Amino acid sequence: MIYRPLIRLTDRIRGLLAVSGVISLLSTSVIIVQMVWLSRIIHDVFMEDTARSDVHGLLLLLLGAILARALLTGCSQSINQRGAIRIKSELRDRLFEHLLCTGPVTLKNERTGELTSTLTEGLEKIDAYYARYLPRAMHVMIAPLLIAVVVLTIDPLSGAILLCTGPLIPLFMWLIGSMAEKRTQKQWSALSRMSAYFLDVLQGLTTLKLFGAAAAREKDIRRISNRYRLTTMGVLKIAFLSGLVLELAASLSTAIVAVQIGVRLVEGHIPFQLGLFVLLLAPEFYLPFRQLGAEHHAALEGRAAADRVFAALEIPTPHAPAHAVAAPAPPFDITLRDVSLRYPGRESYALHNVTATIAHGRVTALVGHSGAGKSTLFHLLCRYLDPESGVIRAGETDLLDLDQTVWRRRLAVVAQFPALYRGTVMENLRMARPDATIEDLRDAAALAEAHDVIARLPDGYETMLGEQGWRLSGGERQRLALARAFLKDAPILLMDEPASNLDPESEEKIGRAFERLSRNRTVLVIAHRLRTIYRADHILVLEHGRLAEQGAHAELAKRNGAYAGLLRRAAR
Amino acid sequence: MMGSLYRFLKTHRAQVAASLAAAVCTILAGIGLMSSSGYLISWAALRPPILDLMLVIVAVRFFALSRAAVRYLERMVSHDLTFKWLLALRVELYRVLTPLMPGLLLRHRSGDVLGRMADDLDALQQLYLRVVAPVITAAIVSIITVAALHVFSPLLAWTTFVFLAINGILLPWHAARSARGIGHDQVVARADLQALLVEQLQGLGDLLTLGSEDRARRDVHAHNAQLGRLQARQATITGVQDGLTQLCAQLGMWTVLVLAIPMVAAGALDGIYLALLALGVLTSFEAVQHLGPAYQFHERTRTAATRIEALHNEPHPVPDPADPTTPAAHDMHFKGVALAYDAGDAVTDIHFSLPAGRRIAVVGPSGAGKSTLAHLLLRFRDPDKGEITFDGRPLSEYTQEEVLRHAAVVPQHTHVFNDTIRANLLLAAPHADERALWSALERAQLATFVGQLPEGLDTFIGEQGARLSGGERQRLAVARVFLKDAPLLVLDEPTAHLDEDTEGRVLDALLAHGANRSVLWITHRLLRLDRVHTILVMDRGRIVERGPHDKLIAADGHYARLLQLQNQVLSL
Repeated sequence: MIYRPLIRLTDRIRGLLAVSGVISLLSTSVIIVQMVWLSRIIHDVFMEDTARSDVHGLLLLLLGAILARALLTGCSQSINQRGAIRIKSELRDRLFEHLLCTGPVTLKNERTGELTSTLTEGLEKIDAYYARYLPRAMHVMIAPLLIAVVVLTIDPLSGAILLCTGPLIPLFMWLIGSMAEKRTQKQWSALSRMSAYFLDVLQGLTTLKLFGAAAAREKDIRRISNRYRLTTMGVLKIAFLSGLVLELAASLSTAIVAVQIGVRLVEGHIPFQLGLFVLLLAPEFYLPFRQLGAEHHAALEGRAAADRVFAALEIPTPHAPAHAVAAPAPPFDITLRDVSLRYPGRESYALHNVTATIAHGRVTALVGHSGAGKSTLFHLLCRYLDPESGVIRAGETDLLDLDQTVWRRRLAVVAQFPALYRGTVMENLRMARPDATIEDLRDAAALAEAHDVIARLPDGYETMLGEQGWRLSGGERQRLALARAFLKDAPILLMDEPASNLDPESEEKIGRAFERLSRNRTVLVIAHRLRTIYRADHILVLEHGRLAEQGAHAELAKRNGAYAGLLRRAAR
Repeated sequence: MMGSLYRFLKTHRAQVAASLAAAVCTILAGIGLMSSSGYLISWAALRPPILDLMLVIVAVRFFALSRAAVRYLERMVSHDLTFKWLLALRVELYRVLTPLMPGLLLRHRSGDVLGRMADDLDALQQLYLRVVAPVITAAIVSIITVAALHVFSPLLAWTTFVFLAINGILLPWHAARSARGIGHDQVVARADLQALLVEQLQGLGDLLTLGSEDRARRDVHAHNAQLGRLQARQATITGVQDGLTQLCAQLGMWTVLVLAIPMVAAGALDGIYLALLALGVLTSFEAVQHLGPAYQFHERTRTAATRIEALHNEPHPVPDPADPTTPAAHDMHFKGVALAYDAGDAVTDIHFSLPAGRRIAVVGPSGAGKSTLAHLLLRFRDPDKGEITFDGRPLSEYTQEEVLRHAAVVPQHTHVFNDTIRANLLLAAPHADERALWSALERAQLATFVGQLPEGLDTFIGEQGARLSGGERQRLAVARVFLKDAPLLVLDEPTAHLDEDTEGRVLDALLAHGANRSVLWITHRLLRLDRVHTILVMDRGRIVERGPHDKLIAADGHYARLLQLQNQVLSL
């Protein structure tokens, strides 16, 4: 199974593959020479009644061949694996780079869990393709051919047998394979479904206990497992046929070679040494086919994994300009003109013809029901998404003409659920400004009302955070994120206020820190707090992706529109 | 683990015997094919009448045909056994886990404990196929080979034995020793890489806006390279192992030849057997060839086995009482209860009463320990300090099963099974009729949704309810509660994922359902709280305030502040 997209990648390891091919050629030659000497020794001792001393030299030569063969085997394994490692790590870096460009919004739709498993286990499965399948596929094209040519020149009849039966093996395997492959594949996925079923039961065990159904489910596990076993065995019956054919072809052909040599020997048509030599080579002729057959599943898996990797590389990325222009220097307003956007596969607009201005140095609040398009607008400004139509400008510059990284340098973003990474508090804060001194960090923490959060941690600024580290509550995380925003000191602040569920202390402190951070910055905040909304200079009210209303609180409250409706609901 | 495997194999004696016999015959047929072929042409070289050769020719053909057939048989039987073994493993794990849940999960703060267990089983299922069967087969074939060689010469027999032993025992042991640590390091490196990727992809937004792409790239590249280095080292070891394995087999053949030649010269051995011996000895190494991988695989499954075995020794979080009873009434009292545990929020000094038919709400910020009260009440965990009584007796005098029989629960994280909506509902009431199901759906505000599905109640809802939204899953859990007629109703944030209108209606239905039942209702949203008898306000593990809604408002304390805070937030 030569899979083109995977073969294309071998450009990077052409040298290693060439070495692997040379080793293949060398080891086959060594095998041939070894068998010449081995048959010679047996011939001399058996037919010529030669004493041991006469074959002494030959035995030493044979030993040399054996050592050389072992050395070549060892080297080829190591070299093949190295090639696989190189391809794998390059692919991994490339895929990660691609995902970085893709941005968080698109990735969210692609299911991070699946992507990480593609990046880790998926790529490890490709390993088997390059480390084992491909070298063996190459070997199958070299070794049998060389052996067949040698046999053909010295004993055309045996050579003809090898040449006729050799191609039969791939042919039969292909026939059976194409017959069984679909069903086998389906069955492998059924097997993983069975595992998924069991995991589902384990995860639901508490629920089962809540309803007193735990004992009954054991019977289901038995019943379903047995059903899967029976259908799987039904498929394996066919899938194993390819192994049967391979084995049968190899052993029967060896037997045919042996018998016809035997018959010709009796008739004196062939010398013993030559006959023995051909017999010794026959299994070596079929061995590469058998080795390749054993890796069939690795090839299938590698191919499936490769499909996932290449699909991930196809995830579209936001527009990157060919010639980026310089980012505008503040002061500038951010203006949206007729901005529309639909998510892939959706009919309805997430944003529809939105025209608005986020004025320099002012606080603009974004309000609306969930699903009204607040986050979409937020993400457009982060350049995670591009508008489908319409244009967003920073001053006079179209955002699309700016390099994403350059634009993002102008932004400080505080997400609703800020991410913390493996590392100390200090390292997490320094992500915003790598050269910050400890005083800078302390100042920022104080401004963000995060100082007491850090002081409460067991090792203060040295406390490890992240998945395996210390856990912080939502409010505490957001205060650290605010500290990062102070450190970054960017002219534009984008903030997504926590919707609910903060303790009163965090609530109060985040409010104060946000007000401090807003000073002298252009601010767009997805607002949930009435206090934030009342104090905003300008309010954008989104409804079903459209800008329903905009203005200051006092002005909007007077109208009996969407904004007033939102406030009424809150007051209930 | 070996204990359970032994018991399993004993109960499937006949099938095990068949699979081992077939495996042994496969290798013996290979040895037979090559040695009889060698013998055939040696004899033929002496040019006897062709009829004399007939028997050997038949033997050659027999071995050739039978090898493929027994091989096929062996694969079928051993795979069938493997599936049965997996079922046995699953049932055993299920039985062990049942009494441990959910206490076990409550002890682990992070990580997919259950997923890892399922993976462990997937590894352990291969224990027979890849470890036990190859080892036994190798032993039997070796014995037969050595016994057969004994007929020709004890010296040759024991020489071969030594090489077989080196190949089958010493080399795998050496490989395992030199690879010790690397296997483990690889697992760690992979897990590290995976954790890093999960963290970075999930926190991609902050990573991009903080401008830390370079740091992320460097981290991924470094982890990637580290994994590559470990794999390259592993490949070198495997390469050396492959080379040595091959060398050992060939060297065995060579040594037998060196020893046999003087015997032939001295007339102690007929030269006609020389080819037979060389080929037979060489092919016999097929028996021990797979022991290296078997050894490695065994090493790898060891961790999995240890983890699963540890579960057997896991103390039951809530041991069953020696003399279990049944409650007549359903009054519950918490007296000075305290509990601190890994995965939940600790509580201390909890006093309260839940008399039969009363409704209590527990409110407070997240992390206050609200859910812990529910866990204690349901006897998911026993308190560290203090006492909980149920109908006047300590809760620990009832089995967990008994306690749960009296409770209907909407858990915070509900599990819906990858099955139909109907099956998920019937879990709560196996004999409920169509009308009861629809009525429950109606009250859970889910009837319209299910009614619109083309397959209605028989719609499959996907893995972990993937085809349902969070709110729909939650309402399914609520519908289950309506179907289970129990005197205690425990609601842990039953409406957290619902929009405001639906939330109100579902709460009304739940409170109506709880009219004549005891209700413990945990919520962070302060809604409909005038409908309960008592509100417990929790903060940092303690009850800081208690009383009915009106009284708490009048007291102008913690509750009043929480309420005020909530009214400052647009809940959208």
